[in-house]
Amino acid sequence: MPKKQLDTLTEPMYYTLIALLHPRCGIEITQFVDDLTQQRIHLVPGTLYTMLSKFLHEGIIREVEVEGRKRTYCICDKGYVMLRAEYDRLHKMIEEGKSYMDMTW
Amino acid sequence: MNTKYKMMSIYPFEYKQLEEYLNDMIKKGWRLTRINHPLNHSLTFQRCEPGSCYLYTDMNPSYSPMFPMDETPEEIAYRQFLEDYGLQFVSSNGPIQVFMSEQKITFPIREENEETTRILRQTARKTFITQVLCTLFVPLIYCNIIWNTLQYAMFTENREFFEIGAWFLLILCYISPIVPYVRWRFTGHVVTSMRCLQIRSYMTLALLVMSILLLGVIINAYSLMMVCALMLIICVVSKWFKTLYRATMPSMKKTILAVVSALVCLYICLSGMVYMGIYYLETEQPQAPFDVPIFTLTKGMDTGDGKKEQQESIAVKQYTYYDSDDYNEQDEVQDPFSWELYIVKPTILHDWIKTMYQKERRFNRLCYGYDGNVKQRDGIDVYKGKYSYLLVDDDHVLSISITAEELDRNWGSIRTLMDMK
Repeated sequence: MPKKQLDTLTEPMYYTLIALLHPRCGIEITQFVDDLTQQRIHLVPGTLYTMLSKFLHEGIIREVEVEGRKRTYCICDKGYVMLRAEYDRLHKMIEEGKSYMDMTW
Repeated sequence: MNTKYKMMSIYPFEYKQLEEYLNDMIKKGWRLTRINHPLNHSLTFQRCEPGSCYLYTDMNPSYSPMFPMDETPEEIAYRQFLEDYGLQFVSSNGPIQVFMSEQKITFPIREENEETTRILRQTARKTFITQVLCTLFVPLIYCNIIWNTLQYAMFTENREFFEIGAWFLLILCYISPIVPYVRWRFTGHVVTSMRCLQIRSYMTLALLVMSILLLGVIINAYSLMMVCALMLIICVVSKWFKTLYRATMPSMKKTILAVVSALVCLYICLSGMVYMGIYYLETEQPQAPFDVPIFTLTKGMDTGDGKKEQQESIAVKQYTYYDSDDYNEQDEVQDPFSWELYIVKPTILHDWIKTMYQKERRFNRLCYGYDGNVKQRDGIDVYKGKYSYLLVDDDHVLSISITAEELDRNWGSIRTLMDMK
């Protein structure tokens, strides 16, 4: 059975949703993620736009402001639930592996 | 010369190669200003300061093969989105869009990941289908016309030429768009030489021009003008349809409407051409000079030997004299619309049939493949062909396009005709 898209958030998706906890436009999202991850993750415009379109289509984010050519997006409840679930999953993974990893290294 | 045009056939999966090429051109002092329709294959350049800017290519995820040159709201939004990153939109041919930046950007427009591959495959497939459908149109017309040509005994003497020409074009028309796509899809290989892309576009255009010219030869200039007028009407209708398409219809309806209208256009074009071909044949053929309304006479053969007066008395409209000794095939090429009835000595005819059968050409082609089986009826040798009969008695050879039932029904009239001297 094919894996349903957006079941698990990829790294760029995760950081994009983190960025959209506050309303931001495309370039602001890129800059935010650059700063947060110290440029470990760089969201390139083409990929980011496709991702934002998909999020909009799925109702994960919404447009809050259109000012000329500048569009500002913000996370919706559905997106927040997904982000929280992903955060908890990652946290749980860390917790579960923590004692073993500490012991090994 | 401040403007330069380059022919180049580009698939969406070759967008990175195009980017390299465009930046090489900027270094030479030529900046791209327009990338034309995928079927047009031309790029327009203008003079600029060498190295004054950088061009970046990207595929277009919301590309619609129906109206590739039109900007959809999604495309406009995407282009505006990229402006924040310092990328100005330059031009798009539908599947590929080109952006310009005065500063060299350090990041790619799109990452190489699963999603990008999916979009690329989707865009390439759309372009491929469009190109195949467009090239399919020409061979289909050929097959149709040639089939009708054979059915109506037009150009029968040149059948090999048209047949080979049509198949040759068919194969080339197909190879041109299919090979690069299939190669990329199954091996991932992309043409890196821009010269190859240029040659590919020259080939496609040459084929289209040849196709149009040959079409003109086959269905005559008047009919070609009619076809062009028809195409123009379709273009106008499609413009009107485009406005309708851009209205507020849901996407399912849009798709159905698009498919239906495309099929209708195709049907109109094909049936129009077939109709014109039939109409031309029906109107241009002269009437038989004697009253034989039921069947038609087609070409036979004549070797001469002093029966000219007799032949004319049978009211042969067009008469060609051949001397049996210095018979020359070249002389026999005549107007295929003329009604002809030739008289020949049976012994010479039989030898000739034998020779032609051995060569496997001309006679059986001309008379639609007589199978060589001879039946005697009232002292007349009846050779049965696929669409016609060859009747031979002591003095005459008559080739007639007629069915078996018609032959039986009109046997009396045919006998009378055969008895005329």
